[in-house]
Amino acid sequence: MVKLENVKKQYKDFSLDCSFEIPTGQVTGIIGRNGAGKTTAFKAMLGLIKIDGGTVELFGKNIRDLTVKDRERIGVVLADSGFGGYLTIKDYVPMLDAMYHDFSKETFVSECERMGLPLKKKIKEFSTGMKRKLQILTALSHNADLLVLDEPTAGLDVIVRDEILEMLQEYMKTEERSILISSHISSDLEGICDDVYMIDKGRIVMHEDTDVILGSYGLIKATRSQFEKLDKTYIIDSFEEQFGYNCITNQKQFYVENYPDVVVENCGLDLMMRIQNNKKH
Amino acid sequence: MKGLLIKDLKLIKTRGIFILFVVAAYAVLQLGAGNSEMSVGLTTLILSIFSITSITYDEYDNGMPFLFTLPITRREYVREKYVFGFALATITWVVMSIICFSFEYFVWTKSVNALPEKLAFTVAYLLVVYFMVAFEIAMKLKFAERSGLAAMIIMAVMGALIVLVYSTFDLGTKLVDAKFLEVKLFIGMAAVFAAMIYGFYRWSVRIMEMREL
Repeated sequence: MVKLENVKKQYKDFSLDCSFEIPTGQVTGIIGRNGAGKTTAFKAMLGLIKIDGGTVELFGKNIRDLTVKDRERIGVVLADSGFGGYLTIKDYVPMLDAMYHDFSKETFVSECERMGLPLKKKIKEFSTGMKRKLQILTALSHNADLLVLDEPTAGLDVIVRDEILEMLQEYMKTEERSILISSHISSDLEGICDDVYMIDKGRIVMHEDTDVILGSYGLIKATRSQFEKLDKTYIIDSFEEQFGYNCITNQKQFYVENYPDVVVENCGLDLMMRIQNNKKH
Repeated sequence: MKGLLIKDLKLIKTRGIFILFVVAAYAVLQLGAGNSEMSVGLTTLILSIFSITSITYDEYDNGMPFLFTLPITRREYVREKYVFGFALATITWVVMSIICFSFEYFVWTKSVNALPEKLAFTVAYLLVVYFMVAFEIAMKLKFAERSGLAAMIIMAVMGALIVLVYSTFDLGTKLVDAKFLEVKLFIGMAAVFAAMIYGFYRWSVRIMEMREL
């Protein structure tokens, strides 16, 4: 569905150089610290910025060759940009109806009302959460084949976040659809993503299936003497701490069974990010 | 383009009421002073400038990146601004011409003798308004990210140059005199304007296509 190959973008203090793929029928997550390059990667993918190298393909076409009809197949939520604030939802409905062949006015309006979004209030008077809900509903309103969601649940309370994630799961029940989603809320990604990329300083530093991260990855906390005795075959990385060593393994069950006196913790996405951050220091 | 036009028309409805009030007040004042051609010309200019203001509304709160994730192209966006601006100018010009010249004929002069001359002035004004709309759209797109004195000074200087050229060539008078040479000159000037407007359009498309959002 989406393929970024050696995509490069150079800024004064930052450079992006990454490759990733979103297969058809999958939900792919991207995690990374603030300023890691998630939004830059999204903007490169959507043609909002010019790339300095590499290729971006959507629906099997180079992004430069996408037609307006192809663009109707994409639904987008951006973290830092949305509808202009001087109009209301009621004002935007005819605009969306004219732009998208598959836009369902009645469904969109009823979903907005269900989510508590006022139709006649100027969007600049909406709260952050309301603006986010509106963006998500717009992205879902026209039978898009690809959703590109940059921090879609930011600013939403846990009840609404669950509702949104349910809507995304419902969206994925139709075949041949894909989602690319970034979030700082790891539990959101863990619940919905099939695979996850971790990006740091503009580079992809990890790519793994979510099931494997949650099921097979683990964090070993070993004292110095325990670390010396550990079989390092399945240790991906380790770094020294005051108590001894933190080690990441992709075969935690091996260490649970063979080293019962060593502490082995589950490894979620949050922990993977913290470990990645600690590595640099 | 239809979706973009709908959006901008909604903006006029929401944000243009104040401008319409100012324009109406100005038109009445000028009519009262017997300046029907000024009334037509400047109300046309003021209302057509709203197409440039619509770009500001699109930029509000960093709205441009999201706008370009919708199924539109950058070329289409520019084209819509030009179509919108020219349509606003033309419709305003037609409506105000009918109102002002009817007022002039039925209320003041009861004579059509002066009407051709006044109409000639307003046709010339319309051409200048088209030119200014094209110029201002290009400037707005170019300097969108750089607010400040430099951009305003450049735009003010260019605007003054345009007014100077218009006055020097006395475009309005050229239409009145039906002699062959002046009409040819007027047509020549209109062709130059059209070429420059097209140049501004192409430049605007280039600016938008190179812009990082």
